[in-house]
Amino acid sequence: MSQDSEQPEVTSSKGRRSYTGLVRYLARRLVTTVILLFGITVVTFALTNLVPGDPVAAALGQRSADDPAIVARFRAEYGLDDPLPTQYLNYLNRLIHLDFGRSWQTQRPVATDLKRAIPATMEIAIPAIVGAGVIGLMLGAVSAYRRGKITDQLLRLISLVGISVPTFWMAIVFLYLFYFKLGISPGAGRLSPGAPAPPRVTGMYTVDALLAGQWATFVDAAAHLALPTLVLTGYTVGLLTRFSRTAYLEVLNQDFTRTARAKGLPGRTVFFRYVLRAAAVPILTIVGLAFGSLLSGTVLVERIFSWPGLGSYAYQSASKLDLFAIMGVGLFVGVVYLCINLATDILYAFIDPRVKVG
Amino acid sequence: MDPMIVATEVKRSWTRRLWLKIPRELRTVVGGFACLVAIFWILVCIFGGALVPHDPLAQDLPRFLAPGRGNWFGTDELGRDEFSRIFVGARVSIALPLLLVGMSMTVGTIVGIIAGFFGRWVDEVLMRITDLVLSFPTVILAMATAAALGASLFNAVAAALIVSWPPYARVVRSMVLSLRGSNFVSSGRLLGFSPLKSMRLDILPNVRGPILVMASLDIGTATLLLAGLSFLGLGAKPPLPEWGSMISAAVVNFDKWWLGVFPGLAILTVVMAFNFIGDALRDAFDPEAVRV
Repeated sequence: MSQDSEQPEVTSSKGRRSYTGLVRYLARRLVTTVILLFGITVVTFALTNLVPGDPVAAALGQRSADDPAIVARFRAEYGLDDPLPTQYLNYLNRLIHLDFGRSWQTQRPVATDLKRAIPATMEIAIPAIVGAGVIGLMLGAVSAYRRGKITDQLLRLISLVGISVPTFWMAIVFLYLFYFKLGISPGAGRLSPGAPAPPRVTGMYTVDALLAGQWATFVDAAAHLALPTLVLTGYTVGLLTRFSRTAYLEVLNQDFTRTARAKGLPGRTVFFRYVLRAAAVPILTIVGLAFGSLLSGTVLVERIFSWPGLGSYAYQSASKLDLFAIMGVGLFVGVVYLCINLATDILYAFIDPRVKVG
Repeated sequence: MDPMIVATEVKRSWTRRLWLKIPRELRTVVGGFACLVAIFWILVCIFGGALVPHDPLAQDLPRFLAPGRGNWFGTDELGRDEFSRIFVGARVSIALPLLLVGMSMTVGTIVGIIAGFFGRWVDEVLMRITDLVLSFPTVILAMATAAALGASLFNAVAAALIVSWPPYARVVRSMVLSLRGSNFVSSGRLLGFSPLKSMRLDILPNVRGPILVMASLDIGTATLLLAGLSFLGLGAKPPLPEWGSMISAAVVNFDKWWLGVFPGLAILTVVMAFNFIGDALRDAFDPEAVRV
C-alpha cells in the first residue's frame, strides 16, 4: 500500500524540473532523428546510384536494354540522365510530398506498394513480437529465478537453439511438418487460393475480415498467418529469454531485492515491484532490438511463405535493382527503427528516474 | 598468505593448471560437447574435400535419392551427393564467416580507436556514420548492398562487412574514452609517443580482450547472415556447394525433406557451438557479467 501512495508523489515532487528537461531532451532527440533520417536517404540513394549494377538492364531485361531508343526513353522517364545531385534533390523534394517515386517493376507508385506490403508484414510481426515478448520475459524470469538448476540449464539450451537456428530453415521445416506431413496448416500465402480478400480497412486481413463480419475469411487468414508468426516468434523468444535472464539476474543480485525478500514480501510483489521495474530498461532496449531483427527475419520468412509483405517486396526490388522501391523500403524501415529507438529512449526517462534527460 | 593455500597451489600438476585455465562453462559436459562440435567442423573445413565419398559437383547419381546406405544424406535435384556437398560446403559456410568477423572486428576497432582517441569532430562524424548503419536492419541493408554490388560470394561478404563493423566501433570507442584519461596513456603521450604509437602500445592491448570475446559471440551471427544471403541467391553461385543455397533448393522441393534438413542441421550445430563457446568466453573474461 505504501508503495502505491509513494509512487505519484515522487514524480510530482520533482515534476516541474524534470519536465523542462524532458522537453529539451525530446527536442534534441528529435533533431538527431531528423539528421539520421536525412542520412538514411543519403545512404539509400548512394547505395542504389553509386553501384556497378546497371538498373536499366535489370529493369528492362537484356533484350530491351540493347535497344538504345527504349533505354533512352526509360532513362528520361525516371530522370536517370540528370546529374546525381539533381536526382537526389528531386528525390528529396518528392519525399517531402510523400511521393516515393514509381517502382519500375510493379509499375505502381512505391507508396501504393508499401501500403499493401506494410500491413501484411505487421500482421505477422506484431503478434510475433507481443507473443515473443510475453513468453521470452516469462521464460527469462523462470530461468533467472531457477539459476543453475535443471530448469535453467534446459531453458538456456532451448534459447541457445532459438538464437542459433536459421529462421529460413525453421520456416521450411515447419512448412514440411505442419503442411505437408500433418496437414494442419493451410500452407503458404495469406488466404486460400481463390478466396476473396476482405474489404480493405487496415490491410490486415484478419482485422478487416472481423470488421466486415466475414467469419470464414477470418479463420482462413488466421490459419495462414499462424506458421510464419510461429517461426518469427520462435527466433525472437530465444533472443528475449537470453537477454532478459541476464537483466533479471543483475537485479536479483542487488541488495534491495534481497532486502525486499528478507522482509517477507510475497514473491509476486518482489518480482513485479522490484525486479521487473529495475530490469525494465535493459529489457526494453532488447525488445526494441528484437523487433528490428524480427523485421530482418521477415525477409527470409516471407519468401518461404510467399507472404506479400515488406520482406518480399524488399527482396524483389533488391534483386531487380528497383531503385525507388529499395529506397522506399529502406526509408520506411529506417524510420521504424528510429522511432523505436526514440520511443525506448523516452520510455527510459519515465521508467528510470536515474536517467538524466536534461 | 596462508601457507596451506600456497602448498596446494604448488601441488597442482601442470595439466591441472592448464585445465583450470579453460573457462568454467567449457569444462562441463555441454561445454565439452560444444568444443568437440566446433573442432569437428573446423577439421571438416580444412580436410573436408579429402574425406568425402563422392565428388560434390558430379551429377552422376539418381535424382532425389532418399538417405540410405550409399548416400547417407540422400541426393539433390541434380543427383549430387548431399553428404559430400555439406562437407565440402563447410569450407565456404564456416571459413567465410570467420573471415568476415575478423574483418569487421578490424575495421570496427580501427574506427572506434580513432573516434575515441581524437574525439571532437572526428568522433562526432564517425559515430554518426556508425549510428546510421545501425539504424538499418542488418539483413535488409546487407541484401540491398549485395544486390546492388551484384550477386557473388565476394560481394555478400562485402555487404555483410558493411553492416557488421559498427557494434565493434561503438564498444571500442567507449573503452578508449575511459582509457584516454588514464595516467599511463597520458604519460606515454608526455614521453613523446605519437598518436599512432600511443594507440598501438597503450590503447590496443587494453581493448583486445573484450573485442576478441565480442568477436567470438559474433561468429554465429555472421554465419547466419551469410547463409541467409546465399539462401536468397545473393551469395554463393551454383554449383559451388554452400549450406544456405542448398537449403534454398529445399523451398522448391520441400517434400524432399533431406534437402533442407541436413544443411540446416549443419548450420545449427556450427552456430550453436560457436555461440556457446562465445558465451563461456564472455563469462570468463568479463568480470561484470553475471555469474551463473
